[in-house]
Amino acid sequence: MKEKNPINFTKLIERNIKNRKYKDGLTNGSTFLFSLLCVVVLCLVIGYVIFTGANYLTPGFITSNYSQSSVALRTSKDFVFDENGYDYSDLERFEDVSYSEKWGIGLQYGKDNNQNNVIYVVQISENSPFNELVRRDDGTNFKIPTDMYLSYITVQTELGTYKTAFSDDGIDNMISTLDSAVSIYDSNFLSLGGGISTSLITTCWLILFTLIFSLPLGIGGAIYLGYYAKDNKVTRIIRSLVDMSSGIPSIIFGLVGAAIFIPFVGSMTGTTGGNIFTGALTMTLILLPTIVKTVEESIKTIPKSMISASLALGASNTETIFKIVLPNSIDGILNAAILGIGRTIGESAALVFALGTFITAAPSFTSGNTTLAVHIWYILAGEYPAYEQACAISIMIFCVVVILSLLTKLINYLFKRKREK
Amino acid sequence: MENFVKVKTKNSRSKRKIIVDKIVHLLLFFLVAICASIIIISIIFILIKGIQPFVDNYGSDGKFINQNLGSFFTNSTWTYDGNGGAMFLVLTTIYVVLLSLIISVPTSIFTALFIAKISPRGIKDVIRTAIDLLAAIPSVIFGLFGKGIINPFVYSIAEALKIQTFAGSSILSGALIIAVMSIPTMTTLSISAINAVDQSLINGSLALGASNAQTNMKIIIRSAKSGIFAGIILGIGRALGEATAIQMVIGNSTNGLTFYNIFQPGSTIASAMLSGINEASGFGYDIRFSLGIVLMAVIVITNLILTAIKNYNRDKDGPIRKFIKKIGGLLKNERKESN
Repeated sequence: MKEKNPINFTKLIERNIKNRKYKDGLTNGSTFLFSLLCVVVLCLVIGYVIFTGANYLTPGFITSNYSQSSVALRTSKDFVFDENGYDYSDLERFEDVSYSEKWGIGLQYGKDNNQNNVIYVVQISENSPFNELVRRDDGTNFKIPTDMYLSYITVQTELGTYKTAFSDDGIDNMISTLDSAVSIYDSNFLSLGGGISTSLITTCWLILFTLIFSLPLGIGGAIYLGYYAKDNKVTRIIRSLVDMSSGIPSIIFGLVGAAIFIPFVGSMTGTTGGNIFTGALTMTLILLPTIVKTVEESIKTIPKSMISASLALGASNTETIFKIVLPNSIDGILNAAILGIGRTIGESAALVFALGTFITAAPSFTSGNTTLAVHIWYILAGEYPAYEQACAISIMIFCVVVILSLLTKLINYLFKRKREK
Repeated sequence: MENFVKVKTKNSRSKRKIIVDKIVHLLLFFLVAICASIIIISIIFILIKGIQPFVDNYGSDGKFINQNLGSFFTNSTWTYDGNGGAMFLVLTTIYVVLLSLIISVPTSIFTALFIAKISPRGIKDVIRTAIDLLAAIPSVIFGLFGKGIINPFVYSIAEALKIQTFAGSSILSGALIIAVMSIPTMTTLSISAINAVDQSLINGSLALGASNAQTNMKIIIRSAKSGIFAGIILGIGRALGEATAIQMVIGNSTNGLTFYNIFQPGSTIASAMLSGINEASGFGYDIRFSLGIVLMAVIVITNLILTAIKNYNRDKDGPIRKFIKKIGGLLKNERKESN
């Protein structure tokens, strides 16, 4: 019998191992690529938000209202320009301010919330006729506010013709127009619009009320589950119900808020529609399962011996709860509060139903409002989405979120160290 | 614990303590009862409000307007005049979530594997932090990102393929956003599932001569299957209920017939609930509660199905196997009888 070629096992194994090395490298590399995808997406989100919005995040943007208020002023009808001129010696001169020598005012460029150049009246001489401007609608004297910019001015020239200068055309044009004028026929002052002050204040109030409503409820529930509850059917049902409500999407809770809390708060205070209280109650529903879970976890880490010792020393259950359980679960409570703040800042779908959709001129406890997140949603919903402003708000939200998550890590670290001691 | 306190004593202070104890106990039970009853009360109120549009009259001047139950299930466009159909919203929702799973499931499983088993420590911390941050970003910022980046991206793809889109607002954009948003949930749960795999299994595989990568793919992922699947179920639950982000990118088309074309705008249940709410009142507002019922039903049914699938392989005598066996037995009997 002829012998077959013997298989060279060493060679086969070597080849196999070589092949396997490539294959392994490929699989490991692909897992790396997939995890890189997460980092890339995060960088894209952050990068997009920062690059688009950073320029728009100005103090004016944060402090001004969303709605723009305007006032139209003119010189009074019996005003005659004094040909001898006025004494403007009290006007302090700066280099970056342009002055109209005829009217005694100083003009300077500023930025509005769309980052366009606008003209502010920054200085007015005490003797200037600009101090005696009256409102066009009711003729009352009106002092030019410093936070309003001059959008356009229409003047009457010596020849009796009218001439208009717009803010867009620049300061030089404005000043030459003013210098040719004998009276101001119309000057329109606008406040900075498109700001977020209302939404910002509403968000702060909402967070405060949400914490006031949700923390006592959640901590109470957690103490019951972590301290009193025996392992029986009722407890299991309660636990599973609490777990189930954490799986419900927030928009459903928005509906609940609209269906229960708006009529409820309305019947107590006489409001119609959403307000900060209905929003806070709705957020409470969303947060409760998380708060109960977080605080309960922290209560469970308290050593049994500590509680037993307290009871053995004659303290009642109540005393044990307030003197042993609560002080030792403070990290859980803080974490729950931080989680609550983060969720409240970011929540939008539920608050659209429970709080309101329209950006209002002033924060109010009795009518609909918007939080920062709903503000973003609102300004992007229209036909001309305001990406830059939305990104500017997003930067603020993002900063808060990052700070909160760092704070959580810090709290956990500090309390871990304390426990180890 | 109560036994410690139940010492018979005539001291009035102790008596007061015991009374206070009982009150506090009751109060805490009351609080936990509120926490637990939230879900029940919510469901009851949404049911009541959601059934209203089918029953009440919303018309004025003698006209009778309410939601037609038949067209609610059959009509292929979503309108606010009483004849809107919601079934296509359900189909689109499921379709978008399935599309998103194509991206999110492999990404989260491989990311979890990389973090738990492969990566060196430095890179691991970076990716972990990235995923934590991704989970912390509010959905409205994802919506902004989708509108600003993903929509133009989808639009340019469609341009290159010469397919018509509505400025990139499409089902594909919705699926991409949903995928990004569900990756953190799925990854976090997958990591804990992979970490929980028995070390002896891994050692056994390595001892048999399998390489690390082979062990990762064939042993670890297979053993962590059930935990990973639990994560996917949770992610799907979140994705089904996501409203703001998807409403901002999907285009909110009310015509449902084109939902299979991923470059066409669509509308999910949650996005239909949210879109146009600025102007809505009366019927247009109340019908959103009916959609709320539909959304909850979809979430519950999807969860039940997925949990059943998850348990199918695990317990040999699970309800589904029993059910299938029963049906099989019935068919056999029938065949015997017919023979």
